[in-house]
Amino acid sequence: MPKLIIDGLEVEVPEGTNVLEAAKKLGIVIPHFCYHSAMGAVGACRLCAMKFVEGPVKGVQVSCMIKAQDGMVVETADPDAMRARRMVIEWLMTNHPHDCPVCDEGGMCLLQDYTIAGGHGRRRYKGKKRTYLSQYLGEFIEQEMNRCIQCYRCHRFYRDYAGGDDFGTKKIANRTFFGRFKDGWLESEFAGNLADVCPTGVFTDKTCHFRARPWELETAPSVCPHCSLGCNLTPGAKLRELMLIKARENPKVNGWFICDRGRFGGGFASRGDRPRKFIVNRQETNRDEAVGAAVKLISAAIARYGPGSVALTGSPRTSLENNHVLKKLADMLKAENICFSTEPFRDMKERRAVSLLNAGSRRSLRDVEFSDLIISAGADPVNEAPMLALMMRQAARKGARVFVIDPRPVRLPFAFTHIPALPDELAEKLAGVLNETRNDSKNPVIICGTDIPGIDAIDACAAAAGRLNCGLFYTLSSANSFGAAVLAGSGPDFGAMLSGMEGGNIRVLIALESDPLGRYPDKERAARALKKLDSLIVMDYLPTDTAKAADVFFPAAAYAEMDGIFINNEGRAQGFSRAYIPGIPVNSMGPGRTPPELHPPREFFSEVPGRSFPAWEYLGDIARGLGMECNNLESLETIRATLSEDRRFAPLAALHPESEGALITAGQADRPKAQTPPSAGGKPDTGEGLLFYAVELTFGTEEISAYSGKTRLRAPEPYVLINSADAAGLGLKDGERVKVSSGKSALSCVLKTSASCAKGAAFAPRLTGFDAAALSGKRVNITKESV
Amino acid sequence: MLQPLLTKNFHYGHPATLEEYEASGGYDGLRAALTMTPDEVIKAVIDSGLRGRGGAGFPTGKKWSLTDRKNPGPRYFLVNADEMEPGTFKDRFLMERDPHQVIEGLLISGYATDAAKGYIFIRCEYAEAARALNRAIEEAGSAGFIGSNILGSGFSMEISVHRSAGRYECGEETALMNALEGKRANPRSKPPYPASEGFRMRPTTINNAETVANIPHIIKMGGSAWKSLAAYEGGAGTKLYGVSGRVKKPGLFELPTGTPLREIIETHGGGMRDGYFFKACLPGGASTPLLAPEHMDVRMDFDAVSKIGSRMGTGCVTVLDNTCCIVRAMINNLLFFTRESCGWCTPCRDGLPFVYNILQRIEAGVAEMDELDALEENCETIYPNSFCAFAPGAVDPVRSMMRLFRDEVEAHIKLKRCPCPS
Repeated sequence: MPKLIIDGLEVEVPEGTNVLEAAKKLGIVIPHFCYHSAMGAVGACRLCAMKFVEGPVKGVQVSCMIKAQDGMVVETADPDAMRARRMVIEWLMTNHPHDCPVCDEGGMCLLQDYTIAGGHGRRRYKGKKRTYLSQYLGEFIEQEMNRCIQCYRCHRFYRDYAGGDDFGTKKIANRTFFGRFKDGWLESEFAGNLADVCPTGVFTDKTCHFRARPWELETAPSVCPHCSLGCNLTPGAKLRELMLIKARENPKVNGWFICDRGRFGGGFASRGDRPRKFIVNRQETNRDEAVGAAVKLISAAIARYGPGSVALTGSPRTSLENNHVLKKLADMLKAENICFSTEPFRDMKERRAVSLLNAGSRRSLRDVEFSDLIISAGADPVNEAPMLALMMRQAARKGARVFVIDPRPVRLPFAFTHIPALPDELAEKLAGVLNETRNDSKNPVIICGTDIPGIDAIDACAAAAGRLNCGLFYTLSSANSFGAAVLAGSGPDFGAMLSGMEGGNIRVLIALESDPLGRYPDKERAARALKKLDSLIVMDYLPTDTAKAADVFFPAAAYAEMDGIFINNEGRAQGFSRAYIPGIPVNSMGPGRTPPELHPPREFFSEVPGRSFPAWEYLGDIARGLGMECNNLESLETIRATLSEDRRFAPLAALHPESEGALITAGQADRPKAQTPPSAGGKPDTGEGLLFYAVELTFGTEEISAYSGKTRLRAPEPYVLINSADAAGLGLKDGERVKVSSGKSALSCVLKTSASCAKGAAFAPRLTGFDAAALSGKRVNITKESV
Repeated sequence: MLQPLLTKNFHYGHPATLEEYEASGGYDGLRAALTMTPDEVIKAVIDSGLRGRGGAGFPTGKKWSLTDRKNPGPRYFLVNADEMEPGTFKDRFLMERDPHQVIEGLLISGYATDAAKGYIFIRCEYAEAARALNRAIEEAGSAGFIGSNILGSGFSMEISVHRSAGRYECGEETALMNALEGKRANPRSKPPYPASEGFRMRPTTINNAETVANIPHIIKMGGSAWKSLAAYEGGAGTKLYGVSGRVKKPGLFELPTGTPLREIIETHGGGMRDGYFFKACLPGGASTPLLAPEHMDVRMDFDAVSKIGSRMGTGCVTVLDNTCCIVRAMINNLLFFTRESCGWCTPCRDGLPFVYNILQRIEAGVAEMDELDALEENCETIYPNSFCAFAPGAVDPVRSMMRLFRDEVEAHIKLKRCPCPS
């Protein structure tokens, strides 16, 4: 640990730390552009000059390029160093257009800050400014190249860190250009980070273009709701519209970055058709009446049919607190029919996986980056948990070997070994790879999906990890799948509840941010069963099919609109805070669309129009309305206190937002039996045809972001993907329209073929309006669609 | 009169064939070297006092001894023939007139540094030189000088010619390696040095084409005998000096190292053309600071020229005569450098255009006196704060202009026009 003196203050830093970071540790921030903690020092901008007075290097040096060493004495305010910094800023500003008034970066621009900090004020350069033609880079990222100061951060992020190859540095000298060969969408799933890494306004978030200044945004530390990894982010809302989402650093989870699904998936919160009204029997009403109606329906059902007639479904996409209060309500009602997912097969696999993780084997997302051997079984990182792919790439860049055992032609932004294997061959192939590689690895990790692998593969991964002292990393479906699985334990799944409804035993369903009509694989069965209910009570913020069918509807708050906890796939509980009070965005009431009752004449309301509340408040109201003793459900503090009474959730006591999170371990007692529900998936049918699997995509299949217009722009047309040889055998060609059928169900889509796809299988994404889930796990026939 | 070594086959007027080259003692150096151990070869080069001919003058023997020969390899030997320095044309003649000499030098260098593969990285525009080299490689290969088990010695080496896509920055050794790897020709930060992690991150030795061409003669003559060819005690060997500008006989001359500048220009270059006077010169390319008439008696050697505030550089002198406006000359220089900057670091990419702009304003007669402060501040901060040696080389002549010709520069501002005949 070298010790050095910076501006008279002694500081000790870990070996290998550069002097710029060492100064930061003392609170001395020297302007810098090209240096970025994630991407390291390259010494291009030359801005972070300091004077080295004593020690192995002497003179004015750029501090990012010099490792801290014992005996160094460094002056940051030396006149020569300050002149060097001032001149670098002056050079950078010679071509900058000074268009801050029309620049989205204004207010959060490092160039603005450092121009002031660097001491450059008077323009001496009298030449013409160099200008560029900017490119169209898609609907996520806006480019204005004239603002560029050539720090190379975008190139280093996009190509080196994220492994993209459609964007890079072109031309030389002060005509150096950062872009694509020609206009078009940036292809990387991580392109949005360009807006974060760019120190000025060259790359900005197009979804927020010209709409908000950073100081107008209401922000709070938050956690991404769009997959199970729990990346940290900062949502920003203006006038009740969720507009700008930026990555937030968490050294244990996402590092510095997030994927584009997380960044651009926030549109669901401000959709025009977001349900914002309390509804009872198709009639708009107020909160109290909705609570009263729900209480009446529930108490009537219990009085007539007993507590077994009320079923409750929580959700893997809502907060731990919401689910917990739902469970408390069920306990108070003595209702045993409670589950936390409406996709039973995935639910049981996730519960199984969660119960198999333990303190010794689990690895954080960031740990994956420091593994030297990664074996992934039945996971498609870019599509199921995008940031995992980015971390795997960092490991690969450091020399890790990566094996991916998966029937899909998995695409990752680096070189790896792909072993095509059908889901029921995963365990066997995993053993093979482990035999060959395990001995020369110090820090291996096994990654296992929970979507297409069966319980046997999930078990095999855990067994191998335990036996060989490997890390274990399951990817789950949703932000709080872990929390939902712990609460569900060995309880019933949604299939059992459907049977209850079909048999007439269950008369009331309370659906908390869950959508059985849209997400249960056999939609017809779900629709028939739900029709038999006396009443359907729904709390949600998405305009789901279930929400539309509700007898009583409560508009719920989404993640950025409330405080809560998500537990990520590792078991890491992370708190998120409310960024803004949810309600109808002011923008949608603007000129031309002003509801006459609001303006003119101008009236002032003390209430937020269309205000939604966190679902736990409604559940508490209902409990109180039912006459339950429930003081401990009154506030989030008391709810968390009752949560912490559960030994498994005890670590939550130490949790606060902006911490690295608290690790939760599911008890073994919660482990559901290794059984395979007959519905949706499971052991494949035997017989003719290709084995069909519904799969996830980065854009368009995840439940919440599927309601966001911007991310849906990147969703592909529905397709089915099969092996090229299988296609040839069927007499089909890539790009043809085909019919995928099993029994009575059929899908119409485009055929894609790939040589690296496992033989005998077919894959299609769970896109909105394309019911791939209905066929999942079945044998299908694929035939050319007759016109 | 000195017996020509490097230029002995130049009289053919075409690339010397293998036959012609061998007739002049060609490949004897390689034969001799293969009987020696690599350490003995390095020792001979150290004894010779040979210093890098690309311009920096790093002792060649020392560079070779730094090559990490413990590393399992493969190791590479690169010949830098990306002769992009304005006013310099020495490597071009070496390759166009006697390509085998460069190849023999590369083979001996590769033997000494245990390199399995040699690349000659040649300037894009040198198509003729590249053709000559490729033809010579073919000839030498068929004669058994290149390939596996060369002349039965057990030493094997392959040689390829790589034509640059064309950038001044490719002459910077680490940028050259990046370019050779197919990447952007940006310089790399050092350490790690090429001796341990160079081309493809393997140990790499890189020398200028002229440096390499000297090696066969050093081996044949012995290090100290070659060293004594210099014009003065302490110099080493012979050097190709070039003269361009308004002199009577511009050209390339092989002379003892340390020949005075006056002798090079007046005796070998034939002196100034009638009616013109020597005003200044760039002693070794566009990146070397100006020398004025009072410097005419300097010995053209690395140390002697450094002592008077310039650099010998490539040794190809660009002479500026009395009709030449020094500001205009610098504008021409800076235009080259602002265009050729690789764009990596700020002082070079954005600082040089600033300098260029002020110079243009001075020449146009629109500059104010305080812009000279900006000019000097620019040069003085660009010089020490840039990533590689490119930008310092670009502003060094401008700094020397401000030292030696300040009156002329100020005259532009006072008269609001250029005082020189157009």
